[in-house]
Amino acid sequence: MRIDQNLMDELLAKAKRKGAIAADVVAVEGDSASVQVRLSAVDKLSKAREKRLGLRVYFGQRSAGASTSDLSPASLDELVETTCALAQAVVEDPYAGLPDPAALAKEWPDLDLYDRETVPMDRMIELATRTEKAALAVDPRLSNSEGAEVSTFGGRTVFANSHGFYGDYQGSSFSCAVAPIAVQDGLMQRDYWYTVGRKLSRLDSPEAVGQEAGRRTVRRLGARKIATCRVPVVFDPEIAGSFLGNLCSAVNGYAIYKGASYLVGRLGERIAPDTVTVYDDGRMPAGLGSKPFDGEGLPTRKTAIVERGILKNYLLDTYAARKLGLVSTGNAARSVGEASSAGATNFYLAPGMAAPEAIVRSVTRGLYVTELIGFGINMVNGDYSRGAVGFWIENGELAYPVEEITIAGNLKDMWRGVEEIGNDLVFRGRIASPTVKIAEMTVAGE
Amino acid sequence: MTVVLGSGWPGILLHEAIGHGLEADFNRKKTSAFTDRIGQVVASKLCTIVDDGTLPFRRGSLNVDDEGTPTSRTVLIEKGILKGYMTDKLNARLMGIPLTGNGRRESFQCIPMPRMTNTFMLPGESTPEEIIRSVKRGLYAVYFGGGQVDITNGKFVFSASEAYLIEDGKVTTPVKGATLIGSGPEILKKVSLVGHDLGLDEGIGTCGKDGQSVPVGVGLPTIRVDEITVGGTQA
Repeated sequence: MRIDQNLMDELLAKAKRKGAIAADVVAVEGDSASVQVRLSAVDKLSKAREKRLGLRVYFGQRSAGASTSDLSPASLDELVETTCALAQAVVEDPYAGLPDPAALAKEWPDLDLYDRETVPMDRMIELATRTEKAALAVDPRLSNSEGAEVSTFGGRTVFANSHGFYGDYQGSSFSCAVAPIAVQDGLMQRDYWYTVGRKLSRLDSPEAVGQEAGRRTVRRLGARKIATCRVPVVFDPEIAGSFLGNLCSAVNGYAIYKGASYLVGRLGERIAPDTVTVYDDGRMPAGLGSKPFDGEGLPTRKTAIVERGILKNYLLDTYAARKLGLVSTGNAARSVGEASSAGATNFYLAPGMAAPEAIVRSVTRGLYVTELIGFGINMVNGDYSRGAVGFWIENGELAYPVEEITIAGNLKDMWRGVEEIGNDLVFRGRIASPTVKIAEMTVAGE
Repeated sequence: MTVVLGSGWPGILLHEAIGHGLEADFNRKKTSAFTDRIGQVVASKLCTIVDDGTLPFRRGSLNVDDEGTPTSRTVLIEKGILKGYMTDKLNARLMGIPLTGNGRRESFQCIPMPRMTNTFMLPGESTPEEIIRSVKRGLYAVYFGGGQVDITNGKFVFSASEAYLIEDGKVTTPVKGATLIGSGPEILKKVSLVGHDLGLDEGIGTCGKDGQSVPVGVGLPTIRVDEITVGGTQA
């Protein structure tokens, strides 16, 4: 069946007839495609189309959700039946419920999230091939590759609830990535680079992506271990983004009400120096995390999470907000078939004044990190310990590549120790950061 | 520092350090640190490591893999010598090597890839007590969080969520937040004692590769590794 306002209204009405006092429905449909080219030959092609719909119903303070990808009338009848039965089988939750009707989004701007341009497979193959060629052309030691991948997605999200809200919007994304491999003295190194955006025309060129991937890979050749030390650490924007992602998890309302974050009870307190300001902005034009309304129909907005070092807001949907005695920040993330949650939209660290080169120059002896592996982060107490790859900094210069080391600290101290923030903020995803320098961390090596 | 890994879940070491690097796709593409090393010494003589999808009641077990191939017990390393790779149909054919029943996919939406099932080291002869007693100063790691590996350079990392110092052959102070990092093709050469207490994990492992998650099992007897870099703020 077509996913439109009639279908949504009908489902909400059916739920009501079964006795639900409130309900909402979310539906998504989309087409995705990707190609992988390796050493100029096609290695993988994939195409998928999906359509899914999820219903959530409330019987008093009892609620349940269910979903289906079979949109036939019989299946939808069964979905309503099952969901209503489920809701009556669970315990009451005093915090359950739809948002206040007055708070629902009434109108919203066009956020420029959709590109009508479709890319035929042969063009995707050509783009991937060019990207990989450009990468391997950077240096003769780039003699192998994990391949280049071009992916596209275009789809639509529809949401309605029994307070009379109906909204839909389209979104698309395009990406191009390559992971070349460099070989020297029988040892291999891999790195990668990518471009991603809502519009095909706004991606970096295949040549630019390939060249950057090649440069990043070759510079890792000859990596060595270093001795254990305590030194300043500079995160490149990719790694600073992952560090910011840890903050994003720590301010998630669900982690907060469960007591599973080191930032529980810290609203209004200083967690970083004055130079640190972090926003979540759901209405950034063409942003990869932008959406006109959130997963329960509330308007998205720009929220200061950290303002001049002070923790100002958690990321909240209605449920987490009620649990905490706060108000939703319009961050409900609702995927079909999953329990409601809060999530970031476009989450970023506001840029500072320093050029990234100047930040590296400010370090006499230290570490510049370009890759992290492993999961050694404890969100409850902030302990942080991960495998790292990067460059040793000697007298303000990247002296040589390093690997097989770990960096360790505590997220609380790391944020308090942010000494410099670069002016190089570029959005390559929903979470973005400029270069960040941290005063001191433990680096473990030989 | 010298590290003693407890039996059971610490087998994640095998999964990260050598398991992924022995999946056939990476070796066909020659992107694994283990590429073209069949027949070479990659571990100490005490190490025999298998991937076995046929164990009853185990999280990583399958009757047949996701391409219809019956699962099997695949010897990856025998007494320190690299013996074989884990394959799916595509890579087995392209490489001209046997099917091992390791073609797995997360769901109908995903393409099959070579993946592990239950990966573990066969038991040795030492008792766990004598392994700990043999260490003057080291780390006794009994439980781990997640791990990850860079297939290409072979560097792997995994985080100890429960670990203790060993001082003069005795387990003493608890250590928090220790991360172990090492090189896959090198680490098992430093295994100097293997216990008789092979244990398999309790059924908690989920392995991620290329966006697909599948349930896996790991196992290990207590082992002594003479040298691993241990990171953390107190190490």
